[in-house]
Amino acid sequence: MAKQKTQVEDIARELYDIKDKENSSYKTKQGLTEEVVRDISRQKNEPDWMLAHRLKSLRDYEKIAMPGWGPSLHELNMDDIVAYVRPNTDMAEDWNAVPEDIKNTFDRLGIPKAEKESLAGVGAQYDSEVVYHNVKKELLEQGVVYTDMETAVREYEDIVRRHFMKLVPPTDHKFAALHGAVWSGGSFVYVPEGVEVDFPLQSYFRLNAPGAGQFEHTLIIVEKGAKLHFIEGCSAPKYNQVNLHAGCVELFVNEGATLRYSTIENWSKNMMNLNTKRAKVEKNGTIEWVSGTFGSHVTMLYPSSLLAGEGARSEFTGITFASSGQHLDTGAKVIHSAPNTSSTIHSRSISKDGGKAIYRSSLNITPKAAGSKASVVCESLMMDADSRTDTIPVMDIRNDAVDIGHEAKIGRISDEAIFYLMSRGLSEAEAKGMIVRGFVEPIAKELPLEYAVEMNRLITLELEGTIG
Amino acid sequence: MSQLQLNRMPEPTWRWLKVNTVEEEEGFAYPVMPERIANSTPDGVCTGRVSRQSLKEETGIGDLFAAKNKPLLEGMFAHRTEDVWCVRIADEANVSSVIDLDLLLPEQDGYTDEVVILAGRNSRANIRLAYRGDMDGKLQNNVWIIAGAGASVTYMQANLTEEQTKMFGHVYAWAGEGASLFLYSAQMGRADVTDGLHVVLEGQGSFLDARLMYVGTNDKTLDLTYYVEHRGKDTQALVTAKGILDGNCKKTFRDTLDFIKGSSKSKGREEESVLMLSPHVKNISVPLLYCGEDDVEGEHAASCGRPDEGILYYFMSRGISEEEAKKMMARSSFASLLTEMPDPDLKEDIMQAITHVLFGEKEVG
Repeated sequence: MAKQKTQVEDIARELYDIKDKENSSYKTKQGLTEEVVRDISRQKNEPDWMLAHRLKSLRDYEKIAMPGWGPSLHELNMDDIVAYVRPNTDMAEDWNAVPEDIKNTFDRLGIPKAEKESLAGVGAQYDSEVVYHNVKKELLEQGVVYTDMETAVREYEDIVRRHFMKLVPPTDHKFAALHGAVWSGGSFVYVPEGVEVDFPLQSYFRLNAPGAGQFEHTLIIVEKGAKLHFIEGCSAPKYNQVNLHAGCVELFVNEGATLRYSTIENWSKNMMNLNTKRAKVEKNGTIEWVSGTFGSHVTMLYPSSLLAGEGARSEFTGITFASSGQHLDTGAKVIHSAPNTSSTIHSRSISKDGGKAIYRSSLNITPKAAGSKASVVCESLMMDADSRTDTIPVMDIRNDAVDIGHEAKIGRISDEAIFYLMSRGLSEAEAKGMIVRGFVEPIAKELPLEYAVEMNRLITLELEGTIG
Repeated sequence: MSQLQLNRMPEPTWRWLKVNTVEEEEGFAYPVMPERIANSTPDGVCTGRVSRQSLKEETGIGDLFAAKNKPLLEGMFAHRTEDVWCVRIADEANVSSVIDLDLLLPEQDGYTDEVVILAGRNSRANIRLAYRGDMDGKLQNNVWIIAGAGASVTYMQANLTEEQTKMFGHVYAWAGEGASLFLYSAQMGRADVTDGLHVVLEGQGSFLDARLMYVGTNDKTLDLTYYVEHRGKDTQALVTAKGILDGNCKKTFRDTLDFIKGSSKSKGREEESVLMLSPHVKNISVPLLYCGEDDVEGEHAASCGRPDEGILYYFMSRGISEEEAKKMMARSSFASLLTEMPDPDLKEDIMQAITHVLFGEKEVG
């Protein structure tokens, strides 16, 4: 009888693939032109400086070349993408005021339920605009600001203008420039000095329109000694045409503050996910990235931490699951730019059925970063020989008074480990299940409970076959 | 003058890191073939000049590596010599003495040296090639090793040149079924080095143990690329690199294990550790793992830092100066890689070169 290999079923997507009937109130023309950019700005009634920013970003986009590394983006044709789709509703603070079809979508995704049970505030974006935003009264009384980005541009103009696309300038790369030109939606969070937000805030991004792009901007400022956990989730139904996500996240973690930024990404397999996330951490501040990448056709995602103040810390924990038709190029970047800073990167990936999971990272220790410590651990599990996994880490160390360690492993489920567990009375299926669950557990335990449960639901195991 | 792109990464990464390749001005037209006069040739060994074309027809050399290295070969060796120096080891030969290919570089603008080592089936041989001298120019060195089925080849290469000799070297090694390759590379030269290794483990059960040692001081630049392809089933590779960096030197080390689809049951491990003796060094490491086959095990590890302060304190508390303590730590760092080197004289030369390059001392009388 032919041996069969361990099977790992695909991510269970039925829930995410339900399409709402298109009912937008406005759409820009396809393609990326000055007319489209001006149109978006006009729709939002923005201040002049934001329009100027968009137009300069467009010029940057036209000048900057496509990346010469990483996955092929040949399927992406900006001429076919609709950059702005406004849903047929204004932003509401009550789910009952949200149109039925949109509300049902978020109900299915569990957002209102999570808000009631375990969150301090929620923002829900549908296509290009935020349709629901609410935050608990107690937080408002403490001076916490959690609103959509468009409101922030109007009502907190000074602070937004000082920070908007300063950490990720449009000149950074082509898709940062694209974002700068056509951004829409997203969240602004401000946590005043000393305030600890006990329950997470969550933003959820749903892209329903086929052939559209979503370009939300998230800007979070956590002041001295403050604390916040922010969760971001996203999904889209699958279409036969390319959708594009080029969001941008900018996080400012001030002295002694702590920010945990958790993401579960579950885009459909027609999505090109070219997201940019960056945090700047001041003295004794901490940024914790938790990242689960399960969806999209192509992802290029490398959350970056700039450790700018003495004693700043960064922790990155991530898991990537690449299945058939997916090329997921993920990782992290850390720049140690001050003394006694520390960072850890812990990444795991699973690839199956021809999926490609690529780990890519950079660790830079500048001459100013004496006394710094960094650890990078990367492990990859391949389920079959049709898949691919590569690790491409770079370490650039320019100070000798540091402690740096890096290790990586690739392979399959160990026959010895299976044998060991079976010798202790487990069946082969139980043994393999335990090993794969153990492989993802270090990441799962960092997620909020409901997302850990969700992640385990997403990865369903079907085990068959014999050892070796 | 146009630029050559050398030591290219198999797959590029972010451009701003500046590790995808290293550029050098063209101008390697040194078609002077060095004469090697062998004092004696062991039984089972034949050495001498051979035409490149006839060797290529016999072995398919060049095509074995062409897919990955064509741009490098075409660019870097545009002005190639007609002949190469060939060392041919007969089938079943067990060569007990070390085959000496050392060269003392003459005073001239540059030098091209190309060596081909053909190890027959089930043969055993140890070969050494040390470059010495202070030639003011570029030394272009190319070594090809073809190990037939069951052969065991130990190749030891040492760059012991002085301050003016810039080294551009590459070793290509191919292993047949059950063949074993033991490769030592010591980059102890005082000038810039651009060096590479490309190993193809083609035959089932073939094996590689590669040990790289390098020292950088002053404003020296070291650009090193090691690339190991696991093509056959059940192949094994162990790549260990140790470096000592001082002054303002810059080192870039790209170390790749590539498990090609079909290389099931193969295992590879690469490990680099770097001792940094100065706060001004630039230490860049790129340990890469590529995998297109699930039934393999691949690992890499990299670490760097200063000499352990606890150990330094221990030595100094026993009356040893800080500089002497650092010398001892530097030598012991390489000693573990050299314990099994079958040429004790070359081993000692390498150990002496450590203190010569790092601390400016010549211990050889």
